[in-house]
Amino acid sequence: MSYIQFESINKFFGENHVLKDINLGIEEGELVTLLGPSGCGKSTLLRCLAGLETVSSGKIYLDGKDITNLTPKQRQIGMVFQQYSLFPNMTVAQNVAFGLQIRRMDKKTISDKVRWILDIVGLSEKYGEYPNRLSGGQQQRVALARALVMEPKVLLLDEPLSAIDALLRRGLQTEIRRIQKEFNITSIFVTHDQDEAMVMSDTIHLFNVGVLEQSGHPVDIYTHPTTRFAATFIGHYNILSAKTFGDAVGDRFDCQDVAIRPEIVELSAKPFQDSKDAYTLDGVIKGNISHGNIIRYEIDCGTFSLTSDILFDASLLFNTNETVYLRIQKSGCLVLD
Amino acid sequence: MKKRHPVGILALTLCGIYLILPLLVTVVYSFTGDWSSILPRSFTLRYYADLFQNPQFWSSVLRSVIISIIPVIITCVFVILALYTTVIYNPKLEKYIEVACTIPYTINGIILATSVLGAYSASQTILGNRLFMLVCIYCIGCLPVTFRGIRNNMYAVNIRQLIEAAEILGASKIIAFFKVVVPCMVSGIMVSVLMCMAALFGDFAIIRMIASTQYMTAQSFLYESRNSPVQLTSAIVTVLFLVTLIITLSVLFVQMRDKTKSTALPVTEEEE
Repeated sequence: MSYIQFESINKFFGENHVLKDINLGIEEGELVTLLGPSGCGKSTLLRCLAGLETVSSGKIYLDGKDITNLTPKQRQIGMVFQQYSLFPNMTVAQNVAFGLQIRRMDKKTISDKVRWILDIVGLSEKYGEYPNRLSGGQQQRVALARALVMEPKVLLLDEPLSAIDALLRRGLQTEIRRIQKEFNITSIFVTHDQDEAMVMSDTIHLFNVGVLEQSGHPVDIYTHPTTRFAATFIGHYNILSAKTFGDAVGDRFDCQDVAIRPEIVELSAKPFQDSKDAYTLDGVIKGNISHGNIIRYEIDCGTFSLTSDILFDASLLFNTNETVYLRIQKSGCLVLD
Repeated sequence: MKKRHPVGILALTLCGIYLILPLLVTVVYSFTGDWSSILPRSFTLRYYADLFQNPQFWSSVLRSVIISIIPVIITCVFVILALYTTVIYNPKLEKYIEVACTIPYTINGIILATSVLGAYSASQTILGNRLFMLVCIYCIGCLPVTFRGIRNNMYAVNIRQLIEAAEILGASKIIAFFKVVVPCMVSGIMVSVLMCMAALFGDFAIIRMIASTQYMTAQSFLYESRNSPVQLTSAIVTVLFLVTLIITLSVLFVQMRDKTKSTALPVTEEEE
């Protein structure tokens, strides 16, 4: 049994079946991400683990103990919320000390622990400030300190960075990862941002409409999506009908769809040499979007369209309506049933 | 800086004069002694001295404060508990509470008082007690303002999330309520309390109808003094105005303090 074990978890909100027979194991010290679009049930699963929601059926085990029916207080779980949820009537130090006071620790211990944890999250100088005087990033670090100071068995992070701007978010991703490793605390991170999930996680659990679609190492999920949803959600894959693509490249696929990552579609102004390891075809540029260092081209190949991600190179730019030649490595074409 | 239009300044000045003039005349009048024709010949503090030495006046002011504060506190406690319970345990019930608390808006205070009198005055139980009736009527009258103020404040501080955060940290819902929710809402509660208190303090019609002379409040005292010298009644009005002003200024002070706290500029990300 894993450190955290979800067994056949079902959750209904009225008629709405939001978690459908979820079976999931999380090992001690791991940082796992529950990834999926809004409304897929990832936050609900997290709240069930925290004890903020009850499960309709199934069991939750933590460290070998059945915690399904325990109150949040009894579970020894820390949580950081999307909107920080700092107590506005308390200073940073009072917020961090709140849980310790509830545990009736002595004042000296509380004071030492508060200073220690604020030092770790780099907010020692904000000790006496009220939350509304802090930036979003600082508030989130206070929330993290408030959760960590309780030395919980598990740290839950419910989309903690979604209200923070992109630049600061990247810094906080690294910060959270550093602190998680420093404490070696089992952590569950909920996000709908696949890039964030790729950066932060040891393991990703991908959810869709209450179902666990795929679990695995970020690179494995990215390179080997097993479902159409996984391919489109995590990798911006080109999903093509196997028959249409097969007819275009003169091959035959025994599957429903073929998935091709945009970055393995090579482009050239001149025809590629035929190769037994790659498919070659031609098309017309229909549009392009710049993502900074990457340019995403949309190419019309006659019976289907493809997107291709090309690293920015000033000598290799294509204009709209220009004819281009494409090469796709056969090993990069994934079959989806 | 935006330049103000002279017509606007003139309109505001005239409006200010129109509003403040009656009050000013009343205040000035309360200090006057003898009159010549249209101007006072002398000024005196005699009427204030008489008023302040009259124990009946102070006890009527005290009664007014008491009868204003008790119903407001009772209403606040009930509304807070009802809203807390619905928001945390059963949000679907909130719309029914909202309807129940808004109904008194549609009922005129005099109609309410007459109906209550008709229904309960003959009762030999506590329901027939005039003071009890008065408190109950005031409680109902306060409901709309108290409900709206507390409800908005409750949503503004997002109590559901705060309680969840407190629970995760090991607090029970009761501890979370007293240690987190109530302190966060204290400004909003105070505003509702003071607004209702100011309204009840100025009531004369309902209290006259329900309690008659059994419970003489400041407004009743003023009514009873209608045959006294006009300077004395002016002095009473001035003192009552000052009491109401203190209550109103307290509301403004609480609101401004709250506003300053909530609109304090957050530190920018670059300052981190």
